[in-house]
Amino acid sequence: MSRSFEIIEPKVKSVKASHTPTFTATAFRYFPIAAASAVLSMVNFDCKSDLNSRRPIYTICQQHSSNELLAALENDYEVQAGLLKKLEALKSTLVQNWNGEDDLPIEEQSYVNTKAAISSTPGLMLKYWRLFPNPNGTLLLSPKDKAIAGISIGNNEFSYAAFISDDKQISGREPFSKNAFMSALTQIHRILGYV
Amino acid sequence: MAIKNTYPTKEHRIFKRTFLQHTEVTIGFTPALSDVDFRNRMIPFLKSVFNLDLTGKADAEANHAEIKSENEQKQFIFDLDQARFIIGPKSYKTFAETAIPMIGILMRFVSEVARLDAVNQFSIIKFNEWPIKVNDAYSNFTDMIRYTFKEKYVSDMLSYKFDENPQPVKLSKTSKTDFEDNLRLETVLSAEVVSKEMANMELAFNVTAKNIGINDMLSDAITMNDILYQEFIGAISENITNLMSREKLS
Repeated sequence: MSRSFEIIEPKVKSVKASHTPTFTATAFRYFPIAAASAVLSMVNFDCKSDLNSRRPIYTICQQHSSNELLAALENDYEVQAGLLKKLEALKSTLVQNWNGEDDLPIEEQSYVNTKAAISSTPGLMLKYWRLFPNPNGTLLLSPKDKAIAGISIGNNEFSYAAFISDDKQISGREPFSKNAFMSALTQIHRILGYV
Repeated sequence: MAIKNTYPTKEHRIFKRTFLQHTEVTIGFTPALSDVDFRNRMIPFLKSVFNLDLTGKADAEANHAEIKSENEQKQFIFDLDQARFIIGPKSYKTFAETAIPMIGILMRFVSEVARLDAVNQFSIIKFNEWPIKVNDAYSNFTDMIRYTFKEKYVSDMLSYKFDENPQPVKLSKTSKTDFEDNLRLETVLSAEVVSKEMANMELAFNVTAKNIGINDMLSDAITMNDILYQEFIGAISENITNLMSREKLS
């Protein structure tokens, strides 16, 4: 029986090499990779959060690398590390009533879920998003550009929405898991044209 | 704790091609390393394992290390309380050939850097993808699902109906299976209409074991991968195994 569809080759993302790796190895002693670059470093951030403003909270976050290694990497690590750093800062600094409206500090499980979501998402996808606290102690990923979209990560569930037009939109609420988050994020990226 | 495989032992077929897009092995451990211990121990570790000498080059406050191959899709990521590696599709041959040597490096990290003899959590994640080019994805949706997966796994998906103005949709099924000895398998099976001309079938696995001694990691990894293999073979149709037996798709 003839079919009107065919399975095609998946798109393969190539591994990006650093433009100017500060150090390389041409032969590993135990690890069978012909050449590699490595970094052992920490990202510094220059984040200014206007936590006293009315909602929505706008955060101006300019990320810069602490040394030449990070600048050379041009990989996705900085993005992921940046969001994790921001998450840690929000968790450790936001206290009860942080915005003057009985706002809650970051909920422990929301923090754990958000950390899991960020840690398991490639920086190539995370680079489109910023992290904000919600007044109810959950966390919000919001696009860096003017797109209408958001992903709110709570203690047990996460909700998401993206809107381009009436026939190009998505929204949902699901129990949190890394796979469910990634699936929703992938769909949102398709809607927003990030892929 | 060594894991017992509840499946009968079965030899793995070696296919000519794979649709595996992402393989990841992750370990998590406590207590977390301090920044100082991480930095001081990582430098000799990287020198010993990767022959990378970072003496005098590493950030003084380093708490993260990333090793990425420049010509292969292999990457290690080391943190204060976890470590993982990722293998891309171009570099994956077989689990034994590709992943096991890299698990050996994670074991050395646990032993030499974390200085522990067990990890709290040990996970293997595999993600398979079948993109499908189609004339009309909406009218062929159920046929494509049936073509990719065994019907008993997707019978509920086959009843999906599009309305008169069909829109892209993604149907996903998630299952969680708890085995003995703190071993859990999560499976996500998805069928998606991306556009009228494009669909995507996905099958993702995450098998996680708790409290694994480093001496058991290799044998447990083989057992865990065997569980993934048998679940994979159990879920996909013969059409897919036939495609995997061919060098080229067309």
